[in-house]
Amino acid sequence: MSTLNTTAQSWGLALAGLCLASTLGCSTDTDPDIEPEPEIAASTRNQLLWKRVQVFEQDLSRALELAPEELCTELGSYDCVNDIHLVNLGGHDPFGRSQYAPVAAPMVTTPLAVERVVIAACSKRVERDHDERAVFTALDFGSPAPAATSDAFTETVDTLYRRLLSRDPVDAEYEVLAELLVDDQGEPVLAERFAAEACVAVATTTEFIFI
Amino acid sequence: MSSRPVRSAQRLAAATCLAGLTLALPSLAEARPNGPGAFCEQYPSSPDCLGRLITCDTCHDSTDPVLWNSYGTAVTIALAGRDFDTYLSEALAAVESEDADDDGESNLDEILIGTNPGRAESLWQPLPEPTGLDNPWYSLGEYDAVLAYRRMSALYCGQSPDYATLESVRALSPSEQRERVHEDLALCLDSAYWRGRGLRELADPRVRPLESVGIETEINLYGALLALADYYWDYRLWRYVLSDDRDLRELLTAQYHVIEAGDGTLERIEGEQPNPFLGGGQPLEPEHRAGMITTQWFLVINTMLSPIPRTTAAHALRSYLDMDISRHEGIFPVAGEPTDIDNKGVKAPACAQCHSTLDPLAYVFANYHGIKYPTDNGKYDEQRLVGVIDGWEPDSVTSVVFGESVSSVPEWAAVASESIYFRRAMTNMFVEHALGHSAMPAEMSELAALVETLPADGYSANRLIHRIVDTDAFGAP
Repeated sequence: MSTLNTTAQSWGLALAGLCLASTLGCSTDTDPDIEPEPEIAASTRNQLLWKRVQVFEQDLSRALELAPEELCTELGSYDCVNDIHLVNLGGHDPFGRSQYAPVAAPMVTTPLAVERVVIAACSKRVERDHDERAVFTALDFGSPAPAATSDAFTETVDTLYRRLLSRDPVDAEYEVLAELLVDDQGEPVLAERFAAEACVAVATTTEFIFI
Repeated sequence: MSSRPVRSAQRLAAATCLAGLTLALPSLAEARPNGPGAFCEQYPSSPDCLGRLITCDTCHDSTDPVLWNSYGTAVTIALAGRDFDTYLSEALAAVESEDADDDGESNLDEILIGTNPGRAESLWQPLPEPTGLDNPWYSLGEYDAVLAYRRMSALYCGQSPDYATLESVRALSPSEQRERVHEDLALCLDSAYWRGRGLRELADPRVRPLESVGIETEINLYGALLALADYYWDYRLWRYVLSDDRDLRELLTAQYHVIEAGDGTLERIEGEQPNPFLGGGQPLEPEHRAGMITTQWFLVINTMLSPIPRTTAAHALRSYLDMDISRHEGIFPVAGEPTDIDNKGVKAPACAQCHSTLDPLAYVFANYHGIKYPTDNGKYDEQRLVGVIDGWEPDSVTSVVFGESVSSVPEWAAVASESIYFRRAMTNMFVEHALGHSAMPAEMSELAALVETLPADGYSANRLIHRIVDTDAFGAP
């Protein structure tokens, strides 16, 4: 049962992250009569550096104060990062698998592996924070998520951006994460659900996975 | 633009004639392995001749059977059946202003910028300038020290900088930020991560470990562990040479070995090292040593039981000179070769294209055992092939590396390590690791400059990395 619950929760979190990414990345306003607002200049080089398995693991581990081996295990036994999803995450295994070099670029299955590890790690951090507050110190678990205007919300978003992206969030990013405070019916979600979904949303951004 | 269909039709007609000519005169369908060398004499500033490696792909879709791409076709037409070596230069010049692949860029422009003039999909155009409001997070189009710091930290420290660290970098002036990048890069290059895992991963495709016959094997053969050699000797030597500003030519010339102390410190040791099992030591006499290409593991895994160790030479070439002979890279034919001394049929035209280079590269390795039961793996033996190959005598063949005759593997390694190809190979390795991709046309001038500075920097890998981190290719978003 617990595996099923975890799977369902994982999908929910993944969908939340996807919705958030869509909101951040696209504008739905397509009225041709409205003059589009000038956009901020973007790089034309199209050359990002992929944070491969070691850096991805270390960054997530440090941000969430979990030991690397605690981030994610498959079937409760197998290390997701350094064993099961090693190749998808940009690593290679010369000794056991005679794979002498990593793949050159992210694979089709890389986003799945990244989400798998991030969802597990964020869920683990929320679970751990019930007893041992380390990351979500401003939230009152067991209670509804705080209001978007509250200090608790601001502090939580600041914490996630500083820990995962090493910078402060901008206004638009607060607005996007505020959408995770309520469910589809507009009712406040529990604080721990908001914590987990916000964590997944920030840790699966392009900015966290590439430099 | 309107002349393109006409030109294409003319080219099609010419290619059709050429195909007919080729069928009628089979001798024309022989590849020209000296073509790449002649090409670089004509275009020494082409990126393919400076930082990368010119290959047969410039003119050919295939060398066996021989198929030319559109540029090769144009050059062949310009040759008009005249002697290849004598008239190639003239033919190359004659088609410079043409656009063989119809991609809008002339052959000469493509050659000078480093794209393939015979393949339309090989095209590069200057990057567009960023447009829009000022980007508050990145210095677009110019060196951004904060971005460089983040990339540097991830690559060489194995983790991104945390918030406090990055805030302290952001608070500095641009010149101070750049200094900070190098100060902390020096710390990263001294870190356990880089000295251990970071450097080791660069060695993996060169060492090619195989657990089942390595020192950690669990396989028994008649009661003896099947530990044919210990690849950790190779990894330690690699990590030692590429750290602490050592001369990276020692990858090919070291006559010492390296052990690891309990605290992880690497220490140089001299002399032969006994085998703990069937293999696992370094039993080779120092005078026959040549760094990474004569370790017991290298000889065991590449030579194995081969009389003429072609695979060994090819892997040395691939690993340390960036030339994969199976892809027609690094072809420098030797007159009179291949002799086919072991009757493998390599004189056949399709084989001789590569074996005229490969076989003379391999002969000196024939004096080294690969696998030799019970405990002679990787040992030197001048009589190794006497009685194995009919007519073989120690001096019956001559090894040649880049046109120079050599009589031993240490001589082979000395010529190789002093070559421009070794410098390019090592520079390319670190550049590709740092950028996450091969240098692109816009980055070729920086790559070529890095290759040139290696000798003045004492062939230090660390100094090379500092220079890479300073390039726009690395730090400009």
